[in-house]
Amino acid sequence: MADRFLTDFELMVMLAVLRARDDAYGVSIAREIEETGGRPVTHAAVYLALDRLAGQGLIASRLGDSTPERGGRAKKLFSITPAGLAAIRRTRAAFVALWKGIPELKGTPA
Amino acid sequence: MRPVPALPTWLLLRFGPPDESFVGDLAEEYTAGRSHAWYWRQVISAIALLSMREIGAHPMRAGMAVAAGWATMLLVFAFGDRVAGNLAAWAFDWDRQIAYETGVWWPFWIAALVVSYSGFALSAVVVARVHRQRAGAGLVAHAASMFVALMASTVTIEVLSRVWDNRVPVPHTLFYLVSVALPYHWRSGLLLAPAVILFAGLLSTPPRLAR
Repeated sequence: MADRFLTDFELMVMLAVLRARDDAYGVSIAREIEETGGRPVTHAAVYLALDRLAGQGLIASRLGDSTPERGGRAKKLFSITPAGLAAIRRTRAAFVALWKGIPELKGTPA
Repeated sequence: MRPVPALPTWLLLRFGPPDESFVGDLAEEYTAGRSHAWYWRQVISAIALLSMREIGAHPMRAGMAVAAGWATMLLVFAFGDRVAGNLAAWAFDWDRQIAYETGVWWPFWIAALVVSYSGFALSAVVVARVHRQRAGAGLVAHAASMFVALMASTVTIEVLSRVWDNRVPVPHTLFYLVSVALPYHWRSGLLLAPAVILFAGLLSTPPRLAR
């Protein structure tokens, strides 16, 4: 899996994990994707993507606090591994390389 | 603090991801003000996505569960004539020989319907037990196979009945399967049979997470 590229959704999830920093768990990640990324998501889609990325060693998880509003269930906090960061950079480089030299996309807002 | 809706949570604990944190995430969002409809949508999408992923990841396992369900169902239907006949005789004082003369078959049709849906329900129980760790995926696959089989049989019977002037021979064992989707049942079995499979399977599936 060392040279794996991320899908667009996986890339969004990984970037949301980075943006949420020390409080990256299901709710905050889904919120980042919806509010910052402007893409509606279900928690299940985020959960399955996180599960897959964790299985490939691109993110790591640890258990956080449990609160009464969570029904006493602990949060699962995520962080990006060095392999995950490398995958993000690789995927970004591929997108940027493909983006260059396309006249139709010149001046398109990011 | 408002409690999470009971029914979708009950479904989630059986068929959803076996992960405490996911259940907690949904509870946190609901407590923070998300709607009842939002919660239902999250639970249904979780069950559907997880089932599809598990079927895709373990197609042989899902296939075995479906095969076990069909074997159970056909075994029940193999005794269908005897059971349905006895049930109609006991409940409605019905007699097959008299029915051939008088044309009164409705008591048998009702009894046959009971046999059909008992077979569907029992097959779901077997699938849920055989596929215990991934009951949701097994039941979704079984319900989908039932829908496809009923659609295929409905189309086949419809075509053949035009060719053979409304006289399509159906093996007795299969009668209890295909009859639920025939016009005299308003083809209700196309949806009801998969629904009964999911419901019966649900009732016989223990939760994977504590409430």
